[in-house]
Amino acid sequence: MTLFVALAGLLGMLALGFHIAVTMGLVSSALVLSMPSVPVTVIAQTAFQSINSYPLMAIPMFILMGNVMTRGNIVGVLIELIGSIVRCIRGGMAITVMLSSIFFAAVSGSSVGSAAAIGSATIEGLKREKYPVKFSAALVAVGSTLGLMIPPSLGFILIGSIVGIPVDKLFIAGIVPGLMEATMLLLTTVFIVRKNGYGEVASKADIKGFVRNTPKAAGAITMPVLVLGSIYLGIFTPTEVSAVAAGYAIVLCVFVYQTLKWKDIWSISKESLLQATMIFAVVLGGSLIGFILARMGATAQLIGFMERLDMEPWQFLLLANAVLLVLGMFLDGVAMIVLTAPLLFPMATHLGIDPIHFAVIMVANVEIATLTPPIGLNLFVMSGIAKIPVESVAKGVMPYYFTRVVALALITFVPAISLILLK
Amino acid sequence: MDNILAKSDVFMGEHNMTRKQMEKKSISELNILAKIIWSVATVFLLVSTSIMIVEGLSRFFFNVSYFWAEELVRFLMVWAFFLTLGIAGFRFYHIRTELLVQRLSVGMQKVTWLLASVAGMVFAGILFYSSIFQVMRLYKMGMVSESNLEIPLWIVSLAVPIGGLALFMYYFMVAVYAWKGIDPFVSDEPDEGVDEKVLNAVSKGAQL
Repeated sequence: MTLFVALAGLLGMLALGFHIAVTMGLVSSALVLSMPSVPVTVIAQTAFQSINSYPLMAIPMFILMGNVMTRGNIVGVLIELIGSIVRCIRGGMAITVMLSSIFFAAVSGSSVGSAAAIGSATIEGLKREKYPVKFSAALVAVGSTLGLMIPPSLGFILIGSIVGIPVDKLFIAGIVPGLMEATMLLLTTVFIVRKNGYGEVASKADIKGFVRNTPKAAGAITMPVLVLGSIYLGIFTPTEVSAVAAGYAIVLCVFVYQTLKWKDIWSISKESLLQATMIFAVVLGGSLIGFILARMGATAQLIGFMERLDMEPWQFLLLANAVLLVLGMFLDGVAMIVLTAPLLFPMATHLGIDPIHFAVIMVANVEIATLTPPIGLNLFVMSGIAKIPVESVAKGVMPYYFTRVVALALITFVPAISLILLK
Repeated sequence: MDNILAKSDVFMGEHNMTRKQMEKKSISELNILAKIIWSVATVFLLVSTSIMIVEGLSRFFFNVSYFWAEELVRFLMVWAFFLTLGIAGFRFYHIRTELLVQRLSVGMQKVTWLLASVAGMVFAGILFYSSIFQVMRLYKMGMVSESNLEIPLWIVSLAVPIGGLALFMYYFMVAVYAWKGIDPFVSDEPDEGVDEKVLNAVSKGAQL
């Protein structure tokens, strides 16, 4: 009963626009204070320990790296390179944008950040090549979600920190599902473009341009190799690679491309820190919720309830997906992970579902959440960049929802997609 | 949203002062302090990043690892986080869902802003109160960190009450704005050249 009232209070406060971190912190603190056997210092201890986590330290550094790459206009270099070859086929520019999204996903852990970077660099070019604005905005919004699945992914770092799964394993698990999603989105894009006759076609491939641009883009192309290669080969821990990649991005943009100055790095670092603080604040609130749920035995009760229902793993996965999809319509990705991970993961593992597989499922749901109105953040980013209403972007995204749901179903019911590289 | 801002403008017009001017006047002293704290915290982030680079490269190239590196990075980032907990609020970074609130009347919105600020102050107060006891306990126990740095843990934990205090100050200002009928959670002056929707989504999107 206490738990039910607390949950109602939590949802009520979230609906009234209270800050998510404070809402979670306040509800759990009230529960702690209502338990005479629990000392008040537990709140401070949990708050401190929630942030004092080595895997979590990768978040501010990956954010710094992503912001440096975004502000340093690395996307422009890549689009020039890929476009010189791909634009000779129908829908070439759209494919270029999708390929650039895949690349940027491998250097940025953020879907929203990728949308802002790729959208700013491509929307005008797509307009010039006669792609409808609605389609262009949707294309970038959808492609950018790959940033969440293809490592480095901030979502995986969060899940790893909360649930206690090694982040490097989660990163490796995200590679195949990410590439599968990318291929499916690419095919969907080709289908839409060809069916509707969107875009212009360059007469022939610009091989000279490609050769000329390759050395220039080599520094940027090395980045995903550095990030993925060093994690896969076990050279660096995810936290170390986040720092090395941030350092490399700074060297690249300040010395090689000279698109940023040192004073830019300082301001980017300041903003990156606040972005990390925003995530950490939600993690702090979520940790307090996680502590109190464990203390009250909520997880054990849910598992008991599940046993009484005699639930099969596939039924649980179906239900978990439905819950996450609905929550994703109203909650931001960080809040969604922080709120649901402490409850869903013990249930999943109790049913024999591999936690790494379940983490990939959760991230696939967060990807869809960033595209789902009314809160889908990528829709808002692209609405702002393309100067069209959010509803228009959502309509443009519509054909991709089908692809996304099919990909989610594959990821959910074929565990090998997520686990193959780990075995 | 436009209505709210329009109302705020009317209010501000009565006092012949823009929101920015009010902000400058009311928190000018805090502003200088906030800038210093934000800069210190940013230095912590950059030092942490540098330490991790050195640790990673040193282990890879020379097979030499520093036991203290991981610990120092964690402690620096813990401090950086708690130091900027309030500043992140002032810069509109903390995440909230405003779907329902936007549909309420201006009067009701003001009530929700006030309630949100009270909730924030209560939580910040609890965080401060509980952490003071924790710091005192660690001080009495004389515990130090695990690595050879042997940093007293009460110093490391001191970040929590400081963060609680900073958060309380932020929500106090939120309450003041809310009381005056100004939406305390929306910036009315986005950075030049940046679309407001993009800015809001990127800054409030928790980077996921």
